[in-house]
Amino acid sequence: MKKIAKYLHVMKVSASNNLVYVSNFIARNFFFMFIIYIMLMLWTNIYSQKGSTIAGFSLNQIIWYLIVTELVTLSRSNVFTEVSRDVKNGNIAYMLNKPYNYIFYSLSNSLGEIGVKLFTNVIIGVAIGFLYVGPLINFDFRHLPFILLSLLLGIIINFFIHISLSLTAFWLEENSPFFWIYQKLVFTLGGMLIPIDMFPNWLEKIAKNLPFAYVTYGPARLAVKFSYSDFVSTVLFQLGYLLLFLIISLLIFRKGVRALNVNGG
Amino acid sequence: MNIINVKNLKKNFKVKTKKAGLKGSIQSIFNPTYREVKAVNDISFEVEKGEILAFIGPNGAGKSTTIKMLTGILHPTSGDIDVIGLIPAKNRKELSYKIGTVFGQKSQLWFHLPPLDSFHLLGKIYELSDSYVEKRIAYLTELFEIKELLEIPIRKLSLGQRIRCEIAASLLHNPEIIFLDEPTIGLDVVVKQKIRDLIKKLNKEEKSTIFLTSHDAGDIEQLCKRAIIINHGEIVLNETVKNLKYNYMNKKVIDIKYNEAVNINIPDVTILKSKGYAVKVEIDSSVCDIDEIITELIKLGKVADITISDPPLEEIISNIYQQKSIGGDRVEEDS
Repeated sequence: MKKIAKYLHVMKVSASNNLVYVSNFIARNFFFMFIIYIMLMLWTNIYSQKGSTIAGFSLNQIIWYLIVTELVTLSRSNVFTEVSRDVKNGNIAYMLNKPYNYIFYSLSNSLGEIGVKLFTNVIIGVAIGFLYVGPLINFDFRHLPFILLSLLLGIIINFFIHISLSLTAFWLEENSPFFWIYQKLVFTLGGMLIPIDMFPNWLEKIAKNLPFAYVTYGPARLAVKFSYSDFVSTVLFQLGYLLLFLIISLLIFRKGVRALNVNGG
Repeated sequence: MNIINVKNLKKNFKVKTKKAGLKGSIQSIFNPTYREVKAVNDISFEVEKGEILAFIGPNGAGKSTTIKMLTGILHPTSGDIDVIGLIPAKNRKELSYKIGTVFGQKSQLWFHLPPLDSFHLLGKIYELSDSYVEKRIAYLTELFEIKELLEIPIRKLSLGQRIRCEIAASLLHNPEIIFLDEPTIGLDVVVKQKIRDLIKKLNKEEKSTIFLTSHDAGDIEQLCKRAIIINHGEIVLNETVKNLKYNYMNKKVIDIKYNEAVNINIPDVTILKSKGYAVKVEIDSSVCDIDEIITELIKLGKVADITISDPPLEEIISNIYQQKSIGGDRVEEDS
């Protein structure tokens, strides 16, 4: 019990540490409003020429879909930059000689940060949706817990991919290109920009089996077009990828610690 | 009883090297070259339970690397370490419940939160009961005089205040050994003294073993009974501070600024530098009396300013090397 309690407490402390930045987070939401507005213009134009549904999405659904994918990406923690920095400047030494698992410590730390961000982003996101296209059609509040579960899993997969990439700092001096590439993959193959359903058939099939789709596309699609069978398959994929990247990050960490050269003496 | 045993400890680092200039940079992409650096080169020593031991040496001597191996952060290249009966690299987690660490240049406290929040978190991390944590916090706040700092976010504290909180935080779980890596770095004289007093008090009240690194000769003189001097990864000297002071730290440097031109001609006083009315001299306190020399110096003319200091550690070390190469020349103390 005490073993779990410490991670919960880390989450709590991290959340209060991040509350200092609440005004920053809210300021960042202007960007959120802006990007969705651009998307609204773009898609209104497309829909005016292509009819009322494209690949099964109406304009209302597509905007709400984009709001959810933005929610996930905007609410990510700074784990990549923080862990890379800790490894590079040797601060990691302080975290290694404490009685906790570093990966799970970072997860709790991130979840505290994500909690604060998600809270502000959800409020703004829902407001934007109502303002731009009105309430999401066919939305059933009974589905909300399932959607939130998938959203949370997406965020956690995102975390484990980020930390796996950032731990390469044990060997590499400059690892930010990985971060950049991953971000762009989520952008495209993860369906952040357009739903994967609009891809050509072959690409859609590939993308639906890749992990990026389960960070953003999976939960966002569930939010706008919920079905229990989709929920089950999405969550199964998510759990699989979560486990995979959890194991990868633990392995990288274990190997990295052995190779650790603490910089700065 | 020994609480730390180190035998033939070695740590090599691979460091990427690069020739100067753009050509060198391009070369290093296709044909990277590495150089093996011996950060710690075959050192052995013991630490007794309840002792304050100083591990001193100039920057880059291998002090921090040794501490990091003793606490399990770094894996040694070869050699054996035993800390409280555990092998640090293998039993890092188990060991972490029994030791406390402070790295003077890094922080373990949450930047935006007051120390109290960090203390409570550490209590959870070390799996301590709430009532025990409260008792410890009350005790440590009094010992470190940080009551008025407890509710101020770390970012608003001065370095001296922060270090006091850092040390208090590392003691929450009542560790058997405390590793302090450069606890006095960057502090002014008054705060330095305060930290030294605290360390002494801690050792007395908690009976904890203290292993401290420093590149400040003043830290050893005031704190420890024994000091190990390390340079280029090797132990230069492992001796009681009494002997050390008597044999190697007997030089004092005196800077005097006169209001008029003077001519110094006192036996046993070496003039290091003389510029205008300011003079820098060195004296050997094992052959002459400091206060006598100072009285004589003051008699020479009207003094505007005077400071007495220890020569830098680098000088003491080179002094040790010199005396060692001469061999058998040094004075043994009869105690």
